Amino acid sequence: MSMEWYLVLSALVFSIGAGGILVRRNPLVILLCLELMLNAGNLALVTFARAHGNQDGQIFALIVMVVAACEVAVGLGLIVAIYRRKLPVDVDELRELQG
Amino acid sequence: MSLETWGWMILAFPLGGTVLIAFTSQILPSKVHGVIGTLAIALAFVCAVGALFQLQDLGEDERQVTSVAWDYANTVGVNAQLSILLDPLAIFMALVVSGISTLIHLYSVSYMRSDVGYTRFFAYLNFFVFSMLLLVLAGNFFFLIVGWAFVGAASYLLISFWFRRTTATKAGIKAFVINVVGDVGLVLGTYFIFKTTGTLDLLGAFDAASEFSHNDTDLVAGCILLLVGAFAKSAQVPFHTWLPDAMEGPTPVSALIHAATMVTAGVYLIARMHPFFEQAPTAADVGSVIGCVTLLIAATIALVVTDLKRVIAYSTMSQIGYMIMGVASFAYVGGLFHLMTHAFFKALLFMAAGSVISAMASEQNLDKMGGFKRAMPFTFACMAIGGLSLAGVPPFAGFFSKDEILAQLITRGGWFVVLAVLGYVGAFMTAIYTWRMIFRAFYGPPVEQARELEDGHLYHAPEPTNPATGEVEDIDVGFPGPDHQIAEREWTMKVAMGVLALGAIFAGLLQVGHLTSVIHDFLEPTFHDSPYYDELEPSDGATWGGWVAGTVLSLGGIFLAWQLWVVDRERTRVTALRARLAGVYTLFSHKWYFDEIIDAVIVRPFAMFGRFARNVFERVVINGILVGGPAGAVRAGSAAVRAIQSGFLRYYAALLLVGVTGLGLYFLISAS
Amino acid sequence: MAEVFFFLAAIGALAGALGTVALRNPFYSVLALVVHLLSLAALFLLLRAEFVAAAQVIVYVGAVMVLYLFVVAYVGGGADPISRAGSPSLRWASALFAGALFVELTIAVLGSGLSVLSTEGTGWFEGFGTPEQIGQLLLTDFLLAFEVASMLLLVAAVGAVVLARRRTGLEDPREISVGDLMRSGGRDEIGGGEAGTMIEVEGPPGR
Repeated sequence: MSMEWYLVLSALVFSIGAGGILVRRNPLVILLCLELMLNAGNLALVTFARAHGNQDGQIFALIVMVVAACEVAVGLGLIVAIYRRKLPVDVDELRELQG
Repeated sequence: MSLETWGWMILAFPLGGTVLIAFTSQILPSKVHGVIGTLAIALAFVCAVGALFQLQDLGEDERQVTSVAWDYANTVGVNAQLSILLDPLAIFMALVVSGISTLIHLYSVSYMRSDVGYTRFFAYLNFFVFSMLLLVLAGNFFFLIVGWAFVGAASYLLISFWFRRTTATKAGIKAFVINVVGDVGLVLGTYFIFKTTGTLDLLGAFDAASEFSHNDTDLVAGCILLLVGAFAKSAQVPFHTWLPDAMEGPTPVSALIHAATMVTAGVYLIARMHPFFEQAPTAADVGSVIGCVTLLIAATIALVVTDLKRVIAYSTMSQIGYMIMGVASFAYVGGLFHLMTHAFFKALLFMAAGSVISAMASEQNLDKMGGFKRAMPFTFACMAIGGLSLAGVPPFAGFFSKDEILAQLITRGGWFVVLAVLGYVGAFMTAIYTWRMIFRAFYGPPVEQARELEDGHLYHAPEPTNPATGEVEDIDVGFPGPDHQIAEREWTMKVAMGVLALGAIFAGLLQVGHLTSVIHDFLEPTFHDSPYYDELEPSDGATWGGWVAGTVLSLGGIFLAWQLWVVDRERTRVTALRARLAGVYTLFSHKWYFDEIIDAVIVRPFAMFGRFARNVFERVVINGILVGGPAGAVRAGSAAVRAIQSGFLRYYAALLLVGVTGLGLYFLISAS
Repeated sequence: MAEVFFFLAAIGALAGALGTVALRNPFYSVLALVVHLLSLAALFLLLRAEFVAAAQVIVYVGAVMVLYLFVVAYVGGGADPISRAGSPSLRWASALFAGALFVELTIAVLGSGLSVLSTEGTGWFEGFGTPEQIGQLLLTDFLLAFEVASMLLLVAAVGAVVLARRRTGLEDPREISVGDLMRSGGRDEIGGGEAGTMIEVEGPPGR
């Protein structure tokens, strides 16, 4: 398959993830959608690595995976803390940080 | 020592006295401060005498010496130096000021003895003498203004000396505010003159006086502003309302400042600036008229006032009116001679009044006094000498000096003769009110205080009170001390008063019509550029006529006073007179309503303006609009921006995404 | 052959993605994401990036998603009714934006004029996606990224522990919020002095 297909797929997944963030209220699901976007990025990176024939894209993808893992860990820790405090686990209810 | 050195030392001693007293105020006992103060001024007098001799050693044409100590500021055409001008007029004034001041310091050594603020008093007095000497010795406008301002400050400090007395502090503020008005006049006048002459140095400016055309508007404006300064300082109408209130200060202060020295600063100013006044006769005429008006108004008020010190204060105002009338009409010799003799007899009168007030335990009301002649003979003698001199009875000093002015006015001719006639009317009234005061205080049945004194016991009031309002006070700092000293018991007071009495008797002989002309010759080098100096030498006829008229009027006045207040024990004739001229009496006793008019025309509008500025302008315009406006705008702006921070996570995400999309769109479009 | 596999994997990826977004139950969303990630791993294989594919399966699916599952099981997560949020209009607006984004990206990619994109990938060489090549690069050219990433992992681990630990020594973890504290002016009586994470890091305020 030509590279274009992979890239279009990546763009599609990315947009789906973006739309999901805007629509869902459960922070867990929002994080999941964030994962979607990250993976779409990964796909694009590896595609370009294949297209140009160097491995920088793959390394980048690996590092992105590491970062995603860290972010997920911290984000889930936050959500657990919120749940522990018996606060509603809902981004529309959690809006103390306002001006 | 050279003339310059003597000159600077005249200034150095009083300044050193002030500083020394101030710095050792906690260290040395107060008696020592009295000695230091008196000694400082005595040394200044000695230096003035030394300077006099040095000056006379110089040739006739060289008797105007400027000595520069230091260039203070020299920029953009303005050269302000610390310089003094030593010439006959300056030395004359310095001698009068330092001489009278020494005697008053001597008097105060015992008069103020029981006052807690004794040290402070002498520090202030020395500071005052320093400022006055600075004023008269100043060699350029800058130094003159500095001295002028210092004198005003010293006057304020001394009038409010008993600072816990509300009446005293109010009087001090009143004096200072009116003084400041005069300061503004002086500075603006200097500016107008400086505009054309281009130099602040006095001698230089005088040389450039001819650059002004006759009655040039700038010059007339400048001279009238100088006159404003002179009138404020010398308590002439309409700037005179502070002088009677200034009697709230201790008696030595009244004697020094408000009789002999500070109030004569205006006279000195006009005499010193004579080249300008002669080029702008319009301004000088204004001065003469105001002087005449003041002498009449003050004399009428003095006829009805009942406070002993205020009678003498109004008398001062009246006599200064004579002097101003004299120097503004270019009768310099008369004006300055009267300044000297007036210093003697007025200080003497104040000192004697101080003695009487002490005997009355701070009571100053003439209505409560009487019959002190037997109890206080020395005081009475001094008061009588002063009174005779003031009334202008020959051969006392006041007679010759006052008639000198009036004779020179007659010689000037034209409408100045009218002024001279009015001056004689004033002389008549002077005799009346002076002896009214003396007869009421010393003749008649002795009051309780006098009787106690005859028994050898000085009256003591049950509790200290404010003589004006009757409020009860205490004897701590800020109020007068508990004891009172009278002349009969204190040798320092006797010496001071004695010397002044001698001066009041014999000083007139310095300038007796055609016989002696010491003053005239002495002051010649200062006034040599004035055509009027020799022109206004009175003719024989004028002199003799003036002497006769003066004698008749003064003796007549004393006789009238005798009739009304001594012969008529019950004072029925006075009461009847008062009833018949009730309207006139009210006008005089309300001091011609000047205080009320000034209050209504100036004080109230200013106060209203101040309140308006605070309540409306400051609060609404500045705080509300100018400060609040930008602050409110910032607040509104940040409130608007704050709305973006809604706290909704999805809102932020949406913003992000929309932003990215928009940006991408932009790049896409720009790239295609 | 390759095209068949590509389409299978692509369909799997899309299905997983749509499932993640659309499914009500968060548990199911996680499972949908797992499907998506596995499909992506297949796609990586198709692109000859073997190591990345393996890492994807082991790390992403095997570790991260399992963590997710644990948390979802703990937190629960009732189905959140999307309708309560801002209404259908929000859904349509989001769909619109997502669509717009997709269109833009596609135009960007397809219209970029990069000639390599229309090929099947020109740059393959022996050992393209092998671990040894990647490892070599990681330890030489990209050493800094490697080290920093490990630091990041450490920080994240510690942070996660701190965030999620049970607070011991406090009387009563009541339901409070920073906003409550701010509104009350920080009075001590609320929440026993709990004011946020930082105070808890330092330990409970001495009483």
